[in-house]
Amino acid sequence: MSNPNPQQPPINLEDFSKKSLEFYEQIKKKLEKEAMSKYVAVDHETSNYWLGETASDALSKAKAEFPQKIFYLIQVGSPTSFSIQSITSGSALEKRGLYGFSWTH
Amino acid sequence: MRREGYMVLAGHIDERNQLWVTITVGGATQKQTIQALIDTGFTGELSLPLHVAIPLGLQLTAATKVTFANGKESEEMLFTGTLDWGTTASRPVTINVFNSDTPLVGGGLLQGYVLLVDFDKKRLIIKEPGIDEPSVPPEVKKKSKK
Repeated sequence: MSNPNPQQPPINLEDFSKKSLEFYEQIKKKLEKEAMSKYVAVDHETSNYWLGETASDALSKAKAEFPQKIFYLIQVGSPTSFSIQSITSGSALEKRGLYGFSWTH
Repeated sequence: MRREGYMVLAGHIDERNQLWVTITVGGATQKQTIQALIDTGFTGELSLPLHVAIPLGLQLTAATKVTFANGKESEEMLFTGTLDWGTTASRPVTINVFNSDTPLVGGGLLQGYVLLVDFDKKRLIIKEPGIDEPSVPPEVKKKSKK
């Protein structure tokens, strides 16, 4: 399937998440001291990060600087950014190629 | 984002006591007005079913880790769209897309709002951020005085 958004090149989500989390590990202590529970959008390629009170705050700041980039979102101090109690993991999107991602297990 | 004054919004409560609101969500190609279920077990902002999300032309913005009801964690994609609700117009909103049937409004979107729920009268009132402290309607006050 062709990439429906040619301005965003296909990325490998697993590799992208791994690299993003490796970068986050470098700033984790500082953020947990200064910005506990806030949201942070990280860009491992430029080693930049943007904090916000909400997910949209953090991502809007990041997008303002790099409109075409894709970021990794983390809630500082939490193992996951969001939880959803009405949906099981089986309902997550299966056809990830739809958005130009390649998905490897 | 355009915002003039504040509003008290009405939602509705269905026969199963679920809370619903009417919102308009948009992407690069279109806007759609939808009924969304308020889900306090969802800590994100907005979740859309695939069939609602695709025609909107949402922008892929981020990846993140999500915990699901069965305790499993997985990497998910996040999209950005715009939200029109009450006096809020074109507010950026972070959207999860799942293979589900129902749009969900999560706690992340309701930050700053006050919800007054009267299950007896099936009445849901939503106060936008900036409105004074919630006041209990007089009839409820009267009932609670013994």
